[in-house]
Amino acid sequence: MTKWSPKYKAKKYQIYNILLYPAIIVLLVPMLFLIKPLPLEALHIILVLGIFSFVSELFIVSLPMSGFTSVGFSISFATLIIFGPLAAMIVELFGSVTLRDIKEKTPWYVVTFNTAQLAFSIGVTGLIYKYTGGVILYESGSGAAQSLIATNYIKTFIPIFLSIVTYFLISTSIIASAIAFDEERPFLNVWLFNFKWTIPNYFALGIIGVLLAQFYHLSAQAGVLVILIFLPMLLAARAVFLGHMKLREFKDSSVKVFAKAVEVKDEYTGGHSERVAEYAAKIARDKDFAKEFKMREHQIEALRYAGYLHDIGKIGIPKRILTKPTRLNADEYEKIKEHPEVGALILKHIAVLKDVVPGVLYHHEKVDGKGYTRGLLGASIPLIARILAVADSFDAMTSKRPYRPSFSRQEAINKLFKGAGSDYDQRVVETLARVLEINHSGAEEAQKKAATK
Amino acid sequence: MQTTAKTTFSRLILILIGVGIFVYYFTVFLGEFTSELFSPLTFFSISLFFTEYFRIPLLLGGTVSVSGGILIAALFLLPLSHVLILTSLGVLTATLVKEAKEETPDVFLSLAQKIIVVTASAGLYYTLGGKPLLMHSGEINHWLSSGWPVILMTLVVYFLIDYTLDQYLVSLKYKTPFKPALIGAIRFQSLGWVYFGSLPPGILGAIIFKSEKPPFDMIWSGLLFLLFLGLLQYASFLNFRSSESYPKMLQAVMTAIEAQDPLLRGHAERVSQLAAVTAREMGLYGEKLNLVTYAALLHDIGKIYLDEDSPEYLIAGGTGETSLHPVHGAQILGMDPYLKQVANVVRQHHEPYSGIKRTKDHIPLGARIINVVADFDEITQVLPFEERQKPKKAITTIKENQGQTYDPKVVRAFEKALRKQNVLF
Repeated sequence: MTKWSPKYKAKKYQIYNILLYPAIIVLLVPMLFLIKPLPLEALHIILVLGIFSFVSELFIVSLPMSGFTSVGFSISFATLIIFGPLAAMIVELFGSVTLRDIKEKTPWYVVTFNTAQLAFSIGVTGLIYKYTGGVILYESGSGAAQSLIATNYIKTFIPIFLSIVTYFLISTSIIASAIAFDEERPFLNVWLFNFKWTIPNYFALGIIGVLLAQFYHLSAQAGVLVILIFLPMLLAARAVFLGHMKLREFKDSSVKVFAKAVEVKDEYTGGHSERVAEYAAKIARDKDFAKEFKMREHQIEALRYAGYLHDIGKIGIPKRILTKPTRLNADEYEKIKEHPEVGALILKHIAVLKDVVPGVLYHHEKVDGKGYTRGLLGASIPLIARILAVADSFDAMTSKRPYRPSFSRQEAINKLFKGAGSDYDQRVVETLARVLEINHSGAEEAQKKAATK
Repeated sequence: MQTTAKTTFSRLILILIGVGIFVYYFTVFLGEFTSELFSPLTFFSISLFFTEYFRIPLLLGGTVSVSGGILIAALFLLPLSHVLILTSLGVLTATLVKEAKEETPDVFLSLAQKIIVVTASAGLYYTLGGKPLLMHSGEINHWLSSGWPVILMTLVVYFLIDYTLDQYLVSLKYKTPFKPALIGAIRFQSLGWVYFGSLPPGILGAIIFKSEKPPFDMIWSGLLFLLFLGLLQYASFLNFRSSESYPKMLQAVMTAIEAQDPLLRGHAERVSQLAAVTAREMGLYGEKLNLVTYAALLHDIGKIYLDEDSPEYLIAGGTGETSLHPVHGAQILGMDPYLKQVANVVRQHHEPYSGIKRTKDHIPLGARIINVVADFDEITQVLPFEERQKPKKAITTIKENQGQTYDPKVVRAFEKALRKQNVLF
């Protein structure tokens, strides 16, 4: 089960409650009147499954942007196959409020949002399962003779497959739209970044659910052994969720440490890489810029990390060159020019930071081809490198250097506009000026220059 | 010399027991075999091959396989002689195929281990009144409801013997102490629970096999084992990705730093390896062992803060309190919450054992190990060629200073570890 916890708590999210609860009531109609409703004689088993579901929600794993996920889906899905949609909805509800909500004082409208979202997803899933011809084991009578797969396994697997897809799509889309609403990001970006990676795991959870249902069907008297048998499976699924999130955490913290390590070497650049990362992310997230270039969330993340790490190659440059107060001679300048190359070499070996390498390697390229390290021209320079070049120059200009005082933001923007089209990508510079809300006196000049070319 | 003899002896004993059991039951198998057991035999052999071939690598070294589940299922279903045959087929082919690809695991040793485990737990299962399910008609519900204590005990016994033997073989192979490994492997490995967790799905496998008609028995239980194996493999892959990104990055950064001086090249990596073997020798494992290894790799990271011309840049040993790079290093690393402890170790890695302000307990063990090991590497490999010493001589030099600069306990363990690695003598 996937749940949402908003970053910015505001009551406007009640709109979801207003929309979802009537929809659930509509769903309840066929469940109560058209399908054989709850088997009352098996109520105690549904209760046990509900408790199982509640417990599984105690071990949630947080998602990349916001929200949580857990392995609870396999339990409600098993319930769906054994007892039908209404029972599945009840079991799902057992997992909708957790101890965490009480401890962290989650606002009531978020709790109701999650409850509604889960109930709605499993409700629709249940109906789809039923009406695409899915077998509900309890109805078809117990005994090993009538088992889930033995009849016609293509006919059995189509409803199962459809149900898993439906559940996943509905639940994650509702949450992604809420996050998009909450954090003002494009919906598709949120969905891809936050949920796409969970797809294989959701299928695994679904199959575990099927196995659980089948197991119940084959041996209803198993008792405690059910937990013993399925716990390892669920733990394995959870280990996959956890592994993903740990990977992200490790990446994040190691990137930041190394950014700091470079800065220690050159005291003039304190906080530089962090600011470059921020400027770069701001440019990429600008609405008009996003419309034109359509950067996905993971690309923006790579851009931010590249911002943090763009100067990591300076680790290999002697300190006396980096902090030299006078002009560098040719040899020393050559040495400085090596840093993108060295940085790329350091990062190349780290699989999780592969996307960052182009940003680091090309952040000193100029659009007219006169930059280093490869002399790439215009659009052949990767976008993240073009953004970084602007962000890097802007921060360098607005901070003090051993050989010059700092420029004001206005002056820096003017200078960037002067270089737009030759050193920098015009649209990136324009976007930076826009997000920083600085009017550029050099804008017309730059446009003229672009027009004459 | 004595340790090697002991190792060979215990290996031989294990293999002999395994082979003995196998030969005895092979004759039984020839008498018992019926053609209807052919398909389960094949299915379980193939599954076993897969699970043994795709063993799940663990973060802190070693691998764990989910073959336990398959053997458990087979053990509940088939007579012991059949289980032993399929065990041999599966394990032998898996290790042979693997051996053709990489360095040799001990083929017969791992097989003997499995044979012993299976025989012992099957023995228990039969003594407690259990029967091979496929050979006897009966209800699966009855088997579960009245037999669950037997099932549970079989699992526990299987786990205990398998796990103990596993860790014993690991300690034999890597020449590490046995007891810490026994606790460490399950407590500190992120997937350590698989040692036991791989077994219960075997019960489900047995139930499915008993109740479904072919070929659905194989489809279902194949799906079960495949799913479990796949999830664990994936989780392990992710764990490795995240854990390797740190050391790899640290290593790359250290290489960049060391690149400025040809004499320093490889120092960090060698120190980290030496520190790891010493720490193992002192009985460290899991997180604590990792801590020492990381800190050893990074002990000189503070040098990026120094001028390349300063005397401390190349050789730091012996400068004691005057050296600055440990402090700088700790500053850099201290910025990351994950590396706080590493920072603490790095800060004190030149602290003399008999430091005036501190008592020995305040210097972390990791720092005391790195103090010895880094100096050893400096004496043997970093110094200009004429001043270098042979390992044996270097140890004597270090021993002269134990008690003052170095912790005698660490020096002793280090010497022992070097001897095991055949660096000395």
